[in-house]
Amino acid sequence: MPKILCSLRALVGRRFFPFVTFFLTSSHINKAIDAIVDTGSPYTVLSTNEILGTRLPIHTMQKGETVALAGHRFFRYLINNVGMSFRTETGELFKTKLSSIAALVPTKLDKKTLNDVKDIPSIIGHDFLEENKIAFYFNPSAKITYLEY
Amino acid sequence: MEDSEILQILKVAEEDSKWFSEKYEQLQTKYEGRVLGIKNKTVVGDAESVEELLNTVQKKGEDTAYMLIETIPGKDVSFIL
Repeated sequence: MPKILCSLRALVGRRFFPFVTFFLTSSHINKAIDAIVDTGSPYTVLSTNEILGTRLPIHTMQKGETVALAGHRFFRYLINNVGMSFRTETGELFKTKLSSIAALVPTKLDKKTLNDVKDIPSIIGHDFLEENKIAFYFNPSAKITYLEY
Repeated sequence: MEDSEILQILKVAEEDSKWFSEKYEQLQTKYEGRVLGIKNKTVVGDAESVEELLNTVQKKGEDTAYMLIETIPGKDVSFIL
């Protein structure tokens, strides 16, 4: 089965967390993005930092369902018709199209809030894995992690 | 965008991401609490916010289009997603 390798990053408490890099394409965004793979997240989301990095007008994106994450509230602003591409272990491209992906847009956009949420990463969630029939392997003690499709 | 171009961008971004993960502890000592721009296994800029980072990096004449944006939380910060 083809694999997409993930990297391990000791974010907090010297515990390793799985990250994967993908390329996002939409009408306004062409960008490589690092995301944590989090099977506990129902949603795949782009972090506030990634949205700010595109220089899209974030103040016009305060729309959509609200979600709570890491003690903060966000709008799930939907970016429609996106493509996500991953590089496989054998150097090929795994491409998938989504009708939409959510961006985490804080309900408050003041300097303090943006500073408080800047460490929250983009997330590959349960929805993406299920819809694309992707399995996730994570063996932290052996430091092995990958996606498999 | 052509597949070959995406593959090349992804290859570089993956290498940068891996480099960032491997150097995380070293970078944390220097850049704790900062937002970093990473390109070709180099920190091309650091700032307090993404906006400031983009301005800083662009002033240096660097293209920010395919730069990885990463943050290094403070050592005393941990959160459960």
